[in-house]
Amino acid sequence: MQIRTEVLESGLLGRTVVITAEGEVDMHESPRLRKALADSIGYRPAAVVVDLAGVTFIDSSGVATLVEAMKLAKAAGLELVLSGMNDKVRDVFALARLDKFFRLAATRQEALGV
Amino acid sequence: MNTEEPKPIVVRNLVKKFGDQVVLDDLNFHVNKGEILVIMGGSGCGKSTLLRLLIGAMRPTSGSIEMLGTDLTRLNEEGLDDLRKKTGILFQSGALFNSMTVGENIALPLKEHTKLSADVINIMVKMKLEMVGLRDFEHLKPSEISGGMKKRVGLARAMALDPQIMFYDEPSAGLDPIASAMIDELMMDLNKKTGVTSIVVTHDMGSAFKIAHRMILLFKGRAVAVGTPAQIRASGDPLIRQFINGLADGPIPLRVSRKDYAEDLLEPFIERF
Repeated sequence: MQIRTEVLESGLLGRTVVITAEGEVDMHESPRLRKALADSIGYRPAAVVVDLAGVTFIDSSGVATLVEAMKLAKAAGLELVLSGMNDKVRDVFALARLDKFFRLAATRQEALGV
Repeated sequence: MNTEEPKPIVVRNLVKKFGDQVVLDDLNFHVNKGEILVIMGGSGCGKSTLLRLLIGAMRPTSGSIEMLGTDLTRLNEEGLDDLRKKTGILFQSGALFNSMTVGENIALPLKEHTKLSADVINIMVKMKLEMVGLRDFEHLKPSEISGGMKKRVGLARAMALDPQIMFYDEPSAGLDPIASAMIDELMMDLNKKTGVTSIVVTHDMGSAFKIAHRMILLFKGRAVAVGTPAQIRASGDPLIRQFINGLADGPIPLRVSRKDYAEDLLEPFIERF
C-alpha cells in the first residue's frame, strides 16, 4: 500500500489534510494507515479527506481503522470524509453495515468542495 | 461463485490409510471460488478424515491438496501456519475458551496473528459480532449463552481474520432445528456477502440440500456422487437414494464387520483344535 499525505491550507472546508491511499489495505498494512490518520488528526485541521480511489482491496481491519479515525475526528471536532471508493471497496463497508456511518464523496474534488 | 478463476482447492488422487485400512481411496475433486461445497456421508465414510487432511492436521498417505495455489501436503509447519491464517474453521463444539468473554474469544486470533492495535481489534470484534447478530453479547462468557449462540460466536471468531476459505465441521450437530436453521442462514449469508469459499462436512441432509451449490457423497472413502443438489436429488442410483432418504435397506450395509459372522464365532474353536 502507498500512502501520501498533503496539507491544503485553503480548501473550502478550511485547513484540510488529504491522505491518499493506494493498493491493498489488509491486516498487515492497516497499521500504517492508522498512523497516517492519527498524525493527520494530530495536525488539528478543519477536515481530513481520505482518498481511497486507488485502493483495490480493503479488509475488515482497514474498515475498523477508518471507524477508529472517525471516532478520533469526532472527538477532535473535525470533519472526516472518505472519497473515491470503488464498488468493491464500498461493498466491504456495506457488508459491515458501515456505509452510512461515514461521510462519503464520489471524488476527492467533491470531498474538497472544488 | 466463479468457475473461471483459479480454484481455491484442488484435491488429486488423495489416499489415506491407517495401517492396512484404506479410509480415503483415490479421491479427486475441486472447489470453485465462492462456492459452498457440502461433503456428505455416513459415519465412518472418511469425511472427518478428509476435513483433517484439508486443514493440514494430518498428512495423506499419497496424493495432493492444492489450496490457494500451494500443495499443502508439501508444506512444513511454518508454511501450514501461514496458510491457516487464510482459512477459518467452525468446529463442531464451537471450541470457545470458557475462561474468556465472547469478545476476548473473537479478539484472540487478531491478537495472535496481527499487529493491530487494541482499539482497532475492539472495533473489529464488534463488527464480527454484528455479522452474526450478537453484538450485545461481547462481555458474556460462553457458559452464559446457548449452544446455538456459541456456534455463532465460533463463526465470528473463525471469520476474524477475513479468511478466503471457511471449513464447517458438522455445523448443525447438537443444535435444535431453529438454531440449526440460523446457522444455515448465516453460512449462506456470509458466503454471499463476503464471497468466502466454503466447505461443509455434514450428515444433515436438510441442511446440505439447503446450503450447497454442489455436493459430494462419500462412501467407503470414495466420492460416489458429485453434483448440484438438483442432480443428486434426481439420481436413480440406489446408494444415493438410500443415503438422501435415510433408508435402512439398500446398498449401504447395516453391518459393517469385515469378518464373516460364522467364522468369527467359530474362530476360538478352530484355534483350539
